[in-house]
Amino acid sequence: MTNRLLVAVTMTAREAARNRTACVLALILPLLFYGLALLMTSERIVVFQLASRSLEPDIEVAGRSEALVFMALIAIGFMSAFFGVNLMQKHSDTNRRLVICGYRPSELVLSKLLVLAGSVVIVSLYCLALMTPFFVPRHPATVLAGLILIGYVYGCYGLMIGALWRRELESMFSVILLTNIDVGWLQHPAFYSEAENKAFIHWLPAYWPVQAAMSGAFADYGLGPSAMGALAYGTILLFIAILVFWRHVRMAVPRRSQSMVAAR
Amino acid sequence: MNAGALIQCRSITKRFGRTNVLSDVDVSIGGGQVVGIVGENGSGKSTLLQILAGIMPPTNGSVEHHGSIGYCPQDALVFEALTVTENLRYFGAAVGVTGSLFEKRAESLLTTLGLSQYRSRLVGQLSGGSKQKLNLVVALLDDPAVLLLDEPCSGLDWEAYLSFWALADQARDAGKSVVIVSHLLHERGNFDAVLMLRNGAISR
Repeated sequence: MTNRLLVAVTMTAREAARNRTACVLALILPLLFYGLALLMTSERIVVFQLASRSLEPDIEVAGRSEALVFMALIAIGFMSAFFGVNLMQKHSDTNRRLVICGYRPSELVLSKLLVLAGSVVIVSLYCLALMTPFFVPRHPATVLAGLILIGYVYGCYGLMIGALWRRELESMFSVILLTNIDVGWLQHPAFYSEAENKAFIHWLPAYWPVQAAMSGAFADYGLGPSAMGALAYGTILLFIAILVFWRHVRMAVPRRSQSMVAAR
Repeated sequence: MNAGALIQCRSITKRFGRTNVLSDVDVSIGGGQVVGIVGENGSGKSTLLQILAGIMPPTNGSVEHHGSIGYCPQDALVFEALTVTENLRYFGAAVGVTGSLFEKRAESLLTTLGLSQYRSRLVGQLSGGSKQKLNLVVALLDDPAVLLLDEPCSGLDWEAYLSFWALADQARDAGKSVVIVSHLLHERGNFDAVLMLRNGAISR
């Protein structure tokens, strides 16, 4: 890691950590989601089919266990998307000044991604630890990977939305709309099992992370394809974020050079 | 390009939609001078400065730089949730001023502008004037050949104001260019040359 990137990561992390209200909310929100899951569900058996394993037998699990895993995915998906938007939009003019001074736009986006990734890992571990008194997944490491992957994909989505829109309202709509429809509804195994046009659901951002977490919690399938799919999806969103950010902050005349903006 | 010019722009035109802000502006700024860009509100002073800095592309025309540029925007663009030192370290990394050089430069500038007692304070807790001083320190951090400053004295107390002009004089004596956007008439006496913007064109 270059010195510049290291400094950018350190300063971005310090800035985020000093937002104490957001840090407390990041701890409270999963509790709230889990509390609702425990309140609204029972040990009644639910039957579903994993979308990525449609030829395999149906899975039968307690409704409460399935709800806990799903709530963790929703909580992390929402939080990482909003955090991504916030990282990109907050101080956008000051970030531009950093680019004017010599930072590469990709270095700044990468520093935000690294801080986001660190936060996602911490929140995912916290969610998994909160889950275990009520339900112990068959493969906790795979569930953890699924939670981290949804954080990565939706965090990159947040970075992209934060780069695309300059204002908060448009970003809120974009995050809430997709996260609600995708993670909160269409990817739910019970809904998916009965859904028409399932191919559409496969193209949504949460598809691979949800498959990873669900198969880790209730089955014995490997993580490989789900991880590859989620990483590829998130990386595409990340590249779009870098490209859009670069277009916003690029210099007309590169710094420290004898250069010219030619007449158009 | 004029011999010795650190920044030169030719036939600069800038339009925002149908509004013509700058029309056919030629500027050549050499070393060892403090140049003022003055004019009424909305006359395009900040736009011209941003074009000179290479931040904003002109609609037509060309800009040439010979030497590093330090740009100080009108608003204090610094991170409010970081301390003064952390901000300087962040911008120092951007301009390549690190280690002992950073310590020396930061110490000297903070002392000159009367900010040294606030080095560990979060910027969000500083007064508007102190934020403006930090804004200025950031621009001066790498000792650039050309300083482009947009209303750098707004919000400064009298002592900092005098220190700023002493710094500008030092920069001029060291052969650097200092370009200052100002709307204060009494500052005109401090400039070696004045570019008066009127109706999008320069009248000297």
